[in-house]
Amino acid sequence: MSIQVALKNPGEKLVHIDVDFKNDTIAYIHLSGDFFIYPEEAIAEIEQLLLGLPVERALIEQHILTLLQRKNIEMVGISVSTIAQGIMEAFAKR
Amino acid sequence: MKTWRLIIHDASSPSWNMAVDGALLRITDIPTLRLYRWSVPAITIGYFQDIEKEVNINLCNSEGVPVIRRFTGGGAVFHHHELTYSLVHPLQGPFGKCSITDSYSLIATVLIHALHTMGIDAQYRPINDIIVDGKKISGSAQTRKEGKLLQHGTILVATDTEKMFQYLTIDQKKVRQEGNPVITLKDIMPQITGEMIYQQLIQAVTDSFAKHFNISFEVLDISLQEKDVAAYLQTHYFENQQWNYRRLSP
Repeated sequence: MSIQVALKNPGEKLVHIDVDFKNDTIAYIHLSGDFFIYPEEAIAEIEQLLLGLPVERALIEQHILTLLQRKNIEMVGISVSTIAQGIMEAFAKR
Repeated sequence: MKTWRLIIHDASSPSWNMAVDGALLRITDIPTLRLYRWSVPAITIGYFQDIEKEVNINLCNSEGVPVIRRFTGGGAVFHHHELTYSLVHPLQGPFGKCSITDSYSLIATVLIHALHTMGIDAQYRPINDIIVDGKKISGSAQTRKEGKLLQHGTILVATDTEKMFQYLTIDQKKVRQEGNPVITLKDIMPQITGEMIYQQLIQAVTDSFAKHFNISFEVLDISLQEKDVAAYLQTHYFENQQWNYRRLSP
């Protein structure tokens, strides 16, 4: 059963994060909301990238940032920081 | 002076409306502004949204209100009495060095000017909204593919707010932050009735685009090829529940 977190940080859109953990790593993650990611298909890559990652904020942020730069992915209304924040909040709610 | 294509469509089905925008993005190379309306009430949801988080699906199904996933991100929208615009433009000329947020702002400026010419004091609310008295009158969503942008958005003429709140599971956190969400042209200009308000709006929008981009319009319909692609997209995406329900929570 995944843990659901919703965040609306200033200047951003509403971001829902459904996440599940196994042995302090991310076992499942699903991002949704009224934000924009360009290209849109990159959301699957972001979700895939996070699977198996230890739940450490700096590590999560660094992994996503590297992917965005490498694949020239642009996010509008959602940030790397918000995704990491949501994961950490969900982890604290276990 | 450059010439853009202007397409003005009568009210069509929701799936066809989205399919034509998709076809324009896929195969159109000439700058095209399309203005259209909706033959029946419908909900569209953003590419990244979960349908069951945003929409009261059972009510929509029981009342025959289609729910369609867009190719663009952004939020869930209740469409009915509105003028919808879509702009397809190569990422060159005025959009050549435009970031995504810059292009939202640029197109919002054009729409705001159109509303100003109708005597409406509209303002831009980043990222993708236009507001009057703090309430949303227009929202837009953009995607970029193969060197082109598609931006489409609404200008609300009238709306059944009660129905909108029934169909959409409006997030209370968002409502608290952004207040009572919408205002329509009929709220602002109740003296203008019937078709006249649409005609005034279409004129104001096309004049504003022509002025801001220093272009003229040639009124044309979509091509046969665009129609074929739209028919494909309508069947394979917007009337296909696998697409419309695609991003489901577990």
